Amino acid sequence: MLPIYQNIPFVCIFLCMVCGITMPLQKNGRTALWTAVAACLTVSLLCCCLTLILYTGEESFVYQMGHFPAPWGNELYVGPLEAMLGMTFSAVMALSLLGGRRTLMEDVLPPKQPFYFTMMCMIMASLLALSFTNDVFTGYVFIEISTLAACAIVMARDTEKTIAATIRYLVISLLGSGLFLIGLAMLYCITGHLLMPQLRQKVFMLLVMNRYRVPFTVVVGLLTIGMGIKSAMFPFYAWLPQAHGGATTSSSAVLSGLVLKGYIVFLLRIFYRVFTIQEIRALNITNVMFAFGVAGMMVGSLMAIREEHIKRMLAYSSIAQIGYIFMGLGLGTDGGVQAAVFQIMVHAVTKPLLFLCAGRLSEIRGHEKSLYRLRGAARQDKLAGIGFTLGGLSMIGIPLLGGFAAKAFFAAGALTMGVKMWVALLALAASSVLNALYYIPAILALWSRGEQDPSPAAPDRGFMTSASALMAGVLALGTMAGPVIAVIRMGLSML
Amino acid sequence: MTNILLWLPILLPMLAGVLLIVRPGLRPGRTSCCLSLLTAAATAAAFLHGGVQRIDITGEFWLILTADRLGFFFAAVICGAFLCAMVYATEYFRGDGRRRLFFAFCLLTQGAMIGLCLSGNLLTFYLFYELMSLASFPMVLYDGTEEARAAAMKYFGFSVFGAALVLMGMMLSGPLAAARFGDLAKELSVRSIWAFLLIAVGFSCKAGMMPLSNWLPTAHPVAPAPASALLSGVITKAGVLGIVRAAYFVFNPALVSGTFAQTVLLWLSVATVFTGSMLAYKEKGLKKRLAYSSVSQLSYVIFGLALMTPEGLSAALLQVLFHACAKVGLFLCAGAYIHYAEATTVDQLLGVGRRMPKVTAAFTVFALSLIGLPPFGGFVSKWQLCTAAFAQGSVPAQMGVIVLMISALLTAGYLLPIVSRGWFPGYGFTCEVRDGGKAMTLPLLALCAVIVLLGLLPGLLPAAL
Repeated sequence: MLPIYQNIPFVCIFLCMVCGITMPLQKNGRTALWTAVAACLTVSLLCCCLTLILYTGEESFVYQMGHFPAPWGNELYVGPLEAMLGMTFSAVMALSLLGGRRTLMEDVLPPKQPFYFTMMCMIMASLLALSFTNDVFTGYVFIEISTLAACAIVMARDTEKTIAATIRYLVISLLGSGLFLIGLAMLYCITGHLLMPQLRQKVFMLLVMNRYRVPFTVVVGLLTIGMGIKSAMFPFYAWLPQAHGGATTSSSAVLSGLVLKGYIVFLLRIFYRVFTIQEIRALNITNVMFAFGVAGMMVGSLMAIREEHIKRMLAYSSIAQIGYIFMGLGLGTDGGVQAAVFQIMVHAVTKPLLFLCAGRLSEIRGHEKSLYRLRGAARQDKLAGIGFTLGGLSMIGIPLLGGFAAKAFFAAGALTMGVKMWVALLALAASSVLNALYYIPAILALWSRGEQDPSPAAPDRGFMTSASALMAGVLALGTMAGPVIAVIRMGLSML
Repeated sequence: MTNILLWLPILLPMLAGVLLIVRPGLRPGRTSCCLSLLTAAATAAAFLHGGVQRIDITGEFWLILTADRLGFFFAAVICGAFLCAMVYATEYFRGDGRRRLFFAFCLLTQGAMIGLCLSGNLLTFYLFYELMSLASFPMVLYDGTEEARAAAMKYFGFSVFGAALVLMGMMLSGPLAAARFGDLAKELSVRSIWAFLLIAVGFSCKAGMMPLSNWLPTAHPVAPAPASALLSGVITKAGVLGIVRAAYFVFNPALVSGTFAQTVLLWLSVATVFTGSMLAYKEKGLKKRLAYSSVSQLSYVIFGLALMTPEGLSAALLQVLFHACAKVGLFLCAGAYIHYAEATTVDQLLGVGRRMPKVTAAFTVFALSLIGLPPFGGFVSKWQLCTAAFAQGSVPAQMGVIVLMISALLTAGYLLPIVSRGWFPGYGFTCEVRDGGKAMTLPLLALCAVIVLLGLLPGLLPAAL
């Protein structure tokens, strides 16, 4: 008899998918929205319980779908880390939908609104599946689902620009999944397995015998580049600013905060469960990721400095933040990877906060996006202003906020690495300066006196709830990083 | 009980600042002067009571608040300077509708700075350091002109860059960043020495040492006078405090001395003392001249600290006190000249002694102290600095003594002409007397009193600073 909590991962994925499929039956956008929010919150609650159970019990388990054993069946693997990521992702998803709902209802045509939430539920399901699955091919399937759904939510705001951005996003994304698929095919040819534990045994055997080193390098390279393209790793980021900057508020928040992370989490799980991080390091892939990560940190911020459009600025900032994550993975030590996972959490909370606040502020000013036109907007909705300020300060790395804790963990992870340590520390220092160079002027502009007199805008309760919750999240990650990093540590050691 | 007392002087002014921003109805000037006084009292209470508080963030790093004598010294200087500046500002900003913003950010900055004095490890220090930068740059921005915006951004950019260097050093030094002040390192690897150098250079950005001093001459002229006084007089001292804490309380001065980090710091500070004075000598704008003078004078302090001897430390601390008094005073005088005589350049100050005798008398005292003439305070600190440098005896230290002498001459060269031309404008100079009011002259008088009193009786200061 299975303990009842072991059903939670499957139930979560299934709940999201069922919700998604039934969305078109909903009467209108409002009910669809609330259904989706309720589903995400339920998932978050369930995952929260699961995290607590797994963390206190120090256990992880494999769930066999339909009780078919290994070579035929499909499996889920869940440990404390996966459960915590699932909890964060679903909570942020619910808050993003809630926070951007007003703009959403204006941007998306009423008959199409239920479909929008179908896509959101699909994204949620695929994020959970990417975090939980034990089967690389299932992972691939959900990558595709997530890609298509992501394209749809970019396009939901039916303008010329977003359609062009979507097509670009689609083409580049499919290129990424293509590379990933080739990598998987090669892996399957070499080993004959698709489930991670079996793959692990075969790969381990072959690597011990020192055979197939070059093909394995190619496989890992293809997987990394494939996922790198989809998560906007440094040279492959061209699609991101238009797609994230042009979409409606909720879409931007979800795309930047969550969708990018799903791919990285899956890649990380392949690294740990199929290869090990030591072997990835021996194959020299980590060095490439490190270099791309550092370059991304710099280039993303430099582009953001030049940007006038507030949402595109945030999108470029995402590229820099993704750079941090790849830098952490590229360190190839446990400390570096822990920091990278922590950064995934921090960014998953901070960036939606920033996007929601930016969206709210631009909504107050009649959907203006340029920083010049948004001068003084923060005076009209103080909460949005404070949220943006807090998020920006976290990105700069002010202590007690999540961003600082992440940087401290990166530095601690880099300490034993020789040349890489210097590069990483320099990059961290330079990047906090660069972040300050665009977040502070933006914050200043938002709080400065504009020409219009600041009549306070009508309050939006959905936004207020979600912004407060996300702000609490940023603060909590900064001040109570201890338990989070402990869960990450335990989860990674179990993978 | 301990906890509340340690938090009170930090939170009280910060909450008051926020309240001033949120509630426009209050009378800003008087309220904030009272609050500043209250903060001073709370600070005194916190330091008399003492105690330690530790707040864990994760297993590896934590925040510590503690009250020790060095912190008390700096807190006293800071409280005094803020009180002077705020009292002065009530007159300087009279009739200005936006003055409450100045007072609000002033209080916020004061809270953050008291936090610096109460910090018990580098990590906590860094937190308040960043808060101070954030709270103080709106003061530069006060005028709201395009120039002020650019200057504020420059100030903030330099601050963040310096802080980033500090952060990098802290990360490099590993466990030392979280170690409590006073738990000295037992041994230093080469990496830790690099870490120390990064931290010291990072902090010296705030203290205006040469490669990173460029923000001072830009930010000071555009900021309103009380803000420049605070920036130059005490906010720069936050960087000094950071170096003191890092060198003498975390990394062991005995271990740092003799390493390349010490040599680099000594040479950089000596170079800055000289170039700063040179640039001040050439500069025509009064506030800009004073800003360059700060660059030079603050490097005296860093020079003293970099000697890594107890004598060097105590000389540097004396210089901190007397420079704070003199420079706050000079900037306040400059503000009075701008306010009542509409003089911004040195040439316009002709005959200012006749026009504003009280203010100019104070200016004279400050100038003489800054040059280092006995019986004023500046003489005591510079004398001790030279003695300490000779006792230390390395090449850059002896070089430093020579440069200190040259710089004293240059200081006389850029300050005395203002004084002499102010008092003696030549034949046929007529003007009406239009001196500063009580709120302006009272702080100046207090500062003069401190300089003269402590200059005559340096023994009043506790010997074991």
